[in-house]
Amino acid sequence: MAVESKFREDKDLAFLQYADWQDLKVLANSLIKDHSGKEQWTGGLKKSLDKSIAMYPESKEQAYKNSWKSIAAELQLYGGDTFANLTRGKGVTYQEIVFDVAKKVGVDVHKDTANISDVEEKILRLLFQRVLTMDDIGYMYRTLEDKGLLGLTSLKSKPWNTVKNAVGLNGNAGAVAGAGAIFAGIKMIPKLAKVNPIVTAATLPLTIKDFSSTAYRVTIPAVCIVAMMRTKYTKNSSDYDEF
Amino acid sequence: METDIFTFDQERFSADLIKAIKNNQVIFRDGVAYWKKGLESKGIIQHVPLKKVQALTTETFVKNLGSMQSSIQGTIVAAQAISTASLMVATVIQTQILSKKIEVVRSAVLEVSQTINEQNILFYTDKVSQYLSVVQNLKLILQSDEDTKTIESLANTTLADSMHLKNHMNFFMLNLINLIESEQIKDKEHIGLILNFVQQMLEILPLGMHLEHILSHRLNQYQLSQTLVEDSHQKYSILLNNYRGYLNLMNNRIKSFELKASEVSYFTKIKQPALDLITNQIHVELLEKPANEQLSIPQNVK
Repeated sequence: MAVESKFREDKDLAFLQYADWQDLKVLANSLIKDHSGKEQWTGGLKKSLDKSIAMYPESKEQAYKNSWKSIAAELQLYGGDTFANLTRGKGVTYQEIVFDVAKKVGVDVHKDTANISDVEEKILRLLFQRVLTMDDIGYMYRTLEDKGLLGLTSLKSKPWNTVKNAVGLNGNAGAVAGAGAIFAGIKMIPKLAKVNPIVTAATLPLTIKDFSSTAYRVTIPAVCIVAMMRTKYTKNSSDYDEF
Repeated sequence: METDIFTFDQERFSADLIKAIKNNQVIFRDGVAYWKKGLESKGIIQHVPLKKVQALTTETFVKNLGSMQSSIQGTIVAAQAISTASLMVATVIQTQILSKKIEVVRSAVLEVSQTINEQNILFYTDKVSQYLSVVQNLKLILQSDEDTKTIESLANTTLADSMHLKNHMNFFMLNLINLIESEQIKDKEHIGLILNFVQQMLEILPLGMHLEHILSHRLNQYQLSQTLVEDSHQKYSILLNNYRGYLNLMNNRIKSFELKASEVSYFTKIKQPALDLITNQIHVELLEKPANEQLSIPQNVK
């Protein structure tokens, strides 16, 4: 269950404590729902937010602002390997998530010298050819869906792009073959009991790996949203100075 | 010891003064109400009548002094609309507050000079002690009822000392803040002592600077008095901005988990007094407002 206690102190997500509550809500929703608003991944964050909203019935702003660590913790958990999280208890730092997403979408970065906000900008520019703002959320999701980067959501509308992405954007012949196997595996999951056991045996390990490892369907849009929120924060960061 | 505190007696204000206050045409300086510059009327409106507001023991008055200005402000809330700075200085002159504060700063200076045994720091801590004596003297001269001519020579010498040492203070404090910010001082105990000293000095400097400005005004050096307060305001603003820059840097590093609060306990200790210093805005009342106010120069000295 992702709650505040699972939050890892993370300098790259600390600015969320100053974020607008509506923006926090957008980020939280990206971790709970798909872009059509349908709840897809109901982890601990949903429960945590419901509890917070119940505690502050008069102010959703307070509820979300007080939940920034829970939201960040959920993102960190998505960034880690689900099975590893079960034993580790906490997720990974945002830096790890960003580098992972950068690698996934094909941004070339040097881990030891790269600055987080620079990497985020490169990701946005590569995916959208510009730095988006929080007003571009709809466009962001449509583009990610078209590129097949939204997991099951993309699978319905852009199955080939989605499967291609599951094995890497620049997949070679072997990767394409693997993609086919994953595609078959994904389609088979609901009817697992009815399929040919030989096909299941061949595709299931790939399918399980795809769904249990870093959840790109969530981390890619989440990193894009965090990047936009950071740009907004940086412009007015001195407003939050205490002295 | 019981001390009488006097404040402005609004009931004995002249009709002209009441009207001028309503029209925002008054500047209170050294117990006198002047017309602002640029109006048809010039010079003095009225020597402001005083009344005894309370009798306090100085011990009670200064008992809970964390930061000096917070206690002073408590006594002047009711009359804030008239002139916070005038009342603040009047209160300081009438009570032992300044002496108590100087004692606190002196002990902070002693700790710095005894612990950080570096030649340049010792040189400047000596200057700090001299400056504190000068501030005490500024208060004494303003407190005396002697005719201006009698005290003129002494007052001018004190003013010259004050201007000279104030510049040393400014330079020294800027250097100290820079030394800490650039992490050239590593020892946490030393950083704590220096921060405490900087904090104490930033609390007392606006008072010293304002007293200097008022003394010059009392000597009828109207233009010099204005120049002094403008210069002091500029110097103090730079100092305070540097201090705030350091405080924000540290505070933001703690809030973004780059530093653990437990590792920088010296910062935790200074945080609340520093917030009080900035939010209470003593420097605004004592320096910024007088620096931006232009009173009409009394006609007899033109």
